[in-house]
Amino acid sequence: MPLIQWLEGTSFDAAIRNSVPGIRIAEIVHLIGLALFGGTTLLLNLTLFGFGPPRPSLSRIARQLLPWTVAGLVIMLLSGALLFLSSPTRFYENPALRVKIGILVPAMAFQFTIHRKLSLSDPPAAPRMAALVAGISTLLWIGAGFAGKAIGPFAVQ
Amino acid sequence: MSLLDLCQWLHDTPAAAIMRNSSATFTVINSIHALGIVLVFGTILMVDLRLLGLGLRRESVKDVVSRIVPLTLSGFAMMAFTGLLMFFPEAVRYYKSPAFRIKLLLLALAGLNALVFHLTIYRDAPKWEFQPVPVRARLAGLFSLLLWIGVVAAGRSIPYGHDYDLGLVTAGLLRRDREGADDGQGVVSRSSPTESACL
Repeated sequence: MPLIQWLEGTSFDAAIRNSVPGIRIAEIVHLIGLALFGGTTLLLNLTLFGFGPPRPSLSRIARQLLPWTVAGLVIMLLSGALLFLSSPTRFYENPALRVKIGILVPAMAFQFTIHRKLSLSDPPAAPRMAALVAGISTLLWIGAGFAGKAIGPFAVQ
Repeated sequence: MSLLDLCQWLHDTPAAAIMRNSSATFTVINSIHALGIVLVFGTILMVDLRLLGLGLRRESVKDVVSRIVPLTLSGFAMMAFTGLLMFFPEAVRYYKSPAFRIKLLLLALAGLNALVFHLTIYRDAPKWEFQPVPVRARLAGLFSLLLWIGVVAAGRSIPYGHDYDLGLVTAGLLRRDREGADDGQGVVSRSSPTESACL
């Protein structure tokens, strides 16, 4: 908490807080990052589920999508950090944001370990294993998204 | 009966009153709406990247498009249905919101762009499948990308109030307007714009 209070007091924080257009742009950029990340992950998960491209092409598709997935995630993390800095204390105390971070951390860990290894594996993993991993990934990210949408309604007054 | 009268009638229906009084329902519907947007925008982004030669270059355009279109359409159905559910309880406010009007206009243009692409240049896709993407198809990808960024930007601006004009007012003026709390989305209005925006 002292860290959060310190953040609230920095001049950098004040600069963001007082820049309404800045916050607006950060929000929009956050959503564009989300679409990029969500689109690539969704496409990959559907391929893992067995929809669409034949399974042997999975690792090829995964390799082509990876840079865009990472780009989307980096855009979201940077713009998300800026949004957090616009009001550190209120965001810190927001229960929905805490839930979101609580889902986000395991989701990212899963994405860049098990999920990535399985999508890039050649020959492709067993269909059931692939579907399980795709299911866990999809649920985690939808959970993070829903928790994110609850940040507004759960705002600390 | 004018469009505004219709909006007023929608606003006055008993179902609209029920919706307005349930902030939990609104949050759930809003979340599903966002999920629909991610489905639509995310999948279209994949096609745009392919058309612009920036991603999925080893897959043919036809492969990418034919696999993605069903997803885009299901996302759109989700988005349109939840969008209508959020629209009718606050129909009059949305009717007056410039951001909402701009969003609908950009959505229509994005739809038109996709339709023209599918009915013209995409029909000849087998001919250029293994060649560089033709300029017209690249342009369709670029227009789509810009229009969808516009849809998201306009959509994000709706909660800022019916007199918010997409950043054309000074920041100081905007703050004063917001304190009137007369904005498009009942629930969202009670929190800060930043918090309401986060996904």
